[in-house]
Amino acid sequence: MKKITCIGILLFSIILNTSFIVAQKIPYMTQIDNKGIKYIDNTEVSIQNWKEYEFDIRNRFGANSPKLLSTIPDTALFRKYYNYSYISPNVSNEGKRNFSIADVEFMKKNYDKYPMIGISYQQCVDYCKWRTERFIWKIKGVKKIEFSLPTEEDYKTAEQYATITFNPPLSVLKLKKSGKVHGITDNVIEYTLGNNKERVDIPIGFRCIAKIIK
Amino acid sequence: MAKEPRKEIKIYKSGSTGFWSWQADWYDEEGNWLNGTGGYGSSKSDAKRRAKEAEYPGPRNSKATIKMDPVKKVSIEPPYVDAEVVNGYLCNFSMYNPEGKKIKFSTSEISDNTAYWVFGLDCFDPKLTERSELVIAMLKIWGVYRGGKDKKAIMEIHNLTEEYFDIIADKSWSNINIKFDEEDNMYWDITI
Repeated sequence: MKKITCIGILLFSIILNTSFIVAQKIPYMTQIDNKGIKYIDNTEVSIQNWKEYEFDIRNRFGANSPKLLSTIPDTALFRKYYNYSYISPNVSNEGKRNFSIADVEFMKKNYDKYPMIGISYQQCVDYCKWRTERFIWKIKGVKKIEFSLPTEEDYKTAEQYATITFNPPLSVLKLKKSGKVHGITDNVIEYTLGNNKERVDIPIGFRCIAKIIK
Repeated sequence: MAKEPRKEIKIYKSGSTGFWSWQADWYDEEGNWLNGTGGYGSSKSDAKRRAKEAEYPGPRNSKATIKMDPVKKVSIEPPYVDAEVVNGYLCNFSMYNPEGKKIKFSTSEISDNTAYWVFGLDCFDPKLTERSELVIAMLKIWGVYRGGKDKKAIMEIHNLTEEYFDIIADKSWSNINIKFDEEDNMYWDITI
């Protein structure tokens, strides 16, 4: 009888351990495979996320660095679609600007709610590299996480895990630490890995995929 | 005397990286945003400390500085540009004047070659545009153009010295302020 109990406990602990591997969560991302290796951002990268990236690059490499200059989005495109100027961390050779009260209000209240646009394919790739380097969320049992743009196939897979909605471009992001993927079928169109065709007639955003390196 | 700018700080955990993120923004006494900065901290308390210790980087928003000055004044800054290009040719472009008002120009009003000069593009050909045209374009963009076609007339109408005319045509200024008196006469204050 004791033997059976011991085996039971052993089996239970194995199941617990295995389920932990599958259920391990990356905050604000959703697992899109059965192996617990691939995750996708629940929403597109927000303007706030991009601003954080710029601040970090400026603080580490300087306001004059080519690295910071390469992060500056197409501000005319940003304004074309949002009707507000993008207020970025200023670079050292930039003078004063005319930011209206409305621009500042939009920055204060909405940068964390709306998708970043006006960025090139290469800028998105660079963002993913930076995120790989700077990611510090502690995920038990995981040594490294690599971020990249999702492939077309990743997108198709992600649809199975997504809430299907049909909101217009530049809709509010559904930012939740856990839950389903949003914005796969609507909001801004997004860059995918290898598809570097840039367009100015529609706003393009992006999100990242995370691969767990065990 | 202007009061010390008011500082607002924001601390939050970054969803994209997991870092504690901080942001500091400064406002003038009327609540106009002046400038902001931010970054990451190693912990919540570190982010908070960094935000508190962040020093005011000086005014960045020129709209706010105009409002703080009791004299009617226009501060000239590099303009923001919205360019519309059709089949590779510049069609029209719009800019925000120093008062934040959007002004649209077509290439019939400001030639595409002059527009290239405004944008600082290498394809600008100085042989195709008179220096007076360049100054007119700049004055139009700043919203202070009052007339005149040749250099002499432009200088007279806008109360510009020859030196200042050349500074505008060479785009060699670092800062320009235009003051207007009660009779709307213009007074230029240009720093190279």
